[in-house]
Amino acid sequence: MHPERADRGRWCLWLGLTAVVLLAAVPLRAETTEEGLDQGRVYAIQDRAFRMNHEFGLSLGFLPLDAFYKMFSIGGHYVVHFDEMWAWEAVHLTYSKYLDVDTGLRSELADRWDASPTDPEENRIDFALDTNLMWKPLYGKSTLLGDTVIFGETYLLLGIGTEKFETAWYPAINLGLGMRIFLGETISMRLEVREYIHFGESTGGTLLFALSFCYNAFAEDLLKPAALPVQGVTP
Amino acid sequence: MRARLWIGGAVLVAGWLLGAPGWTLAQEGEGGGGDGGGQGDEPTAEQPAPAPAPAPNLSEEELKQLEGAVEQKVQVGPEVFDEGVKLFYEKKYIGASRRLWDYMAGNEKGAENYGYAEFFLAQAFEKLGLTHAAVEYYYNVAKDRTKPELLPDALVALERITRRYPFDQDLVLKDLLYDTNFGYLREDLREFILFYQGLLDYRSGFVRWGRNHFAQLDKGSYYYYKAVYVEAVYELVRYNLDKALEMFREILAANVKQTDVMNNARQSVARILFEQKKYAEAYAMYEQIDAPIEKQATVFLEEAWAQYYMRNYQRAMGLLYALEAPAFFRFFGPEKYILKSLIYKNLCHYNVAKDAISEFLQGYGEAVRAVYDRVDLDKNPILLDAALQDPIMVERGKFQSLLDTELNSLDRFDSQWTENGLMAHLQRIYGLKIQEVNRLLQVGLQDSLRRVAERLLEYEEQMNLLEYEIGLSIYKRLKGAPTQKEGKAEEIPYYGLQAYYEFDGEFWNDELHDFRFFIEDRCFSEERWE
Repeated sequence: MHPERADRGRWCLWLGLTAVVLLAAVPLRAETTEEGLDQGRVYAIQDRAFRMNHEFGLSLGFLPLDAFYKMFSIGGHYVVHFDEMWAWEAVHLTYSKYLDVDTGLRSELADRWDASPTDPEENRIDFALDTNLMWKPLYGKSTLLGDTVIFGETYLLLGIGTEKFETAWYPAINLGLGMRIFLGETISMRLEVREYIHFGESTGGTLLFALSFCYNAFAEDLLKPAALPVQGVTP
Repeated sequence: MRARLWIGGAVLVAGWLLGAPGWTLAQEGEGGGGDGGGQGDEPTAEQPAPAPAPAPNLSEEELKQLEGAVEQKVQVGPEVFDEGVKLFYEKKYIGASRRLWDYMAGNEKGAENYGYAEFFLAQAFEKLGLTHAAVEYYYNVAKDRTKPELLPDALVALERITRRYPFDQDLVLKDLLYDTNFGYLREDLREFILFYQGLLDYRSGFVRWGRNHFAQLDKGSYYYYKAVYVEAVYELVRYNLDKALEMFREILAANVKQTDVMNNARQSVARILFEQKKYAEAYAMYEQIDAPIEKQATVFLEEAWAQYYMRNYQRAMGLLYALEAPAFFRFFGPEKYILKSLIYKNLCHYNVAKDAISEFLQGYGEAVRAVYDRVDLDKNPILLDAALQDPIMVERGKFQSLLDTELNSLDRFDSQWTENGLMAHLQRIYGLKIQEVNRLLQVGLQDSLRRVAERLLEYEEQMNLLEYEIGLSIYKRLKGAPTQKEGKAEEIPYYGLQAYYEFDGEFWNDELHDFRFFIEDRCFSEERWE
């Protein structure tokens, strides 16, 4: 996508989403204040039901913003989780060559206006390869239909990589926001949105929506936290 | 104060077991639904008994009707019986009931197939979800024994129903099992009868006879462990704690496949350990109880006491907070305010300790005033609600609910059973039994109300004492020239292996066991002051 088509609104959206995540994360640091000391405060303290270790995932994606082609993608990733807050997405690959659908805009332009774009082919992305830092500030649970409790976490991604277009390679930075739903101790599902911003002869962005199914390898190696002491007052 | 809890608990358990309706509580977890007949809404264990209607006096005639006496006698041939049986085997239970009733209504009890007709009718009723009507006719078959070959099948059916549903205990246990000599029976039925004969002996105070009956049970059988439970509760009531503990542990070691029996045994063991001041062990045993959360109110309260004595006030208070959950909204728990106040007092938070006393008065003050004013106790909704949660009342209430449900379900058969009088007959049976159960509920309610009122007055007295002690503590502290507490806020970690969910008033059932209370201990320098 050409820089002139880059939508300022998209940046606003990104900033807004990031702000929401950050603001939501702030109350996580619940701290007993002087105000609460007289009556006391109550916490439900539970061992984390799910913890990630070595994550392998396969994904299906959609790149919606090119007016001439709607691109689909397949991908994969490997993430090593350091702890409950930080992880490193060592490799993330999105492959979309040959997975495009012509929107018909080019022929419509030619038929109705006798116009043609300069070279839409050059903006078709073949694949993106990147590595990211993952920050997971939100962890919690929800009820599904008022019956089943499901656990999930929300994460932010920030990383570097490269994008390969039809005609050239470009270095890129990568921003992402996603949500993981734990389906079991070893299986989880990620729904995320990423924005690649590439630099070089031309600067532009690529928006990617992806749904991933992840396998949590070596989950059993993680320390079971049951025996850990709970912080707090012990008179 | 905790001793009172214990005594209350012991009486509760004793009432649960040795009281009239005890065992069906232990039986409710076994069954699934009925086997195909459309059993209606079975009352749940936690529903308190419904308030009884005024008790009528039953006339002789009504009592005869209750026994199922058949009045119409228009001679009907055996082909009607054959047709009824044929329909039964074709699983057309409504039609089968109608024809079998036609046959019974047109013949004397001594008629050739009368006993069989009663048996098939009972089976058809059971299939249709009319368990009380089924019990009435199984009872007739087993009691009259006009067809002795049907006795084992009738007893098997009764045993099945007694395990799954609330049932007429007077009819089945007292009139049939306790009063009848059945002669030789196969092993499983013999155990069923021996157990209930032993249980009724215990209830009547004939302990030696009860032991004799229980001694004949096969070790390791289903009824053997039920008998061990009865004996353990008996020892518990006599305060033979070690012996009772040994018996309960025998049940736990057997790991019988009846969750509620295991949970009751666990709770009993925990209570005994608590009495023996083994608080950590008691708490560990409480934690093993895996009953549905709404049945764990007493468990939470007793756990809180155990934690209190372990000086883990954080956990104890967390458990008390859990008792505020909607799942326990009918739990009669004035005791929790005593414990709450004690915890605050022990942390030298005297103002909130007094607030807990105010909370008690807010919740139960009206009921206390009603007792002092000597108004009718059943007019006070708090006392009435608490009285209806008495295990005996709950048990009777469950039976009453079952009768109501089954009586209402008779409408489904209106078109087929009205013409030949079966509908009217069943409505009479159910109506009279409901009246009888209501009368028993009314009688039981007065006793239960009195017990609740006495407990409430005890709690009020303890609250007054506690208020005085708090005042005394405040005075001592003032005298000791208090200093400003150098409070240090407890930090909740950003992240870690445990998730900290701050309680914001919304209760999640999965969190109730995990509440912790964060409050500073202001008694840090009491000793220094003194």
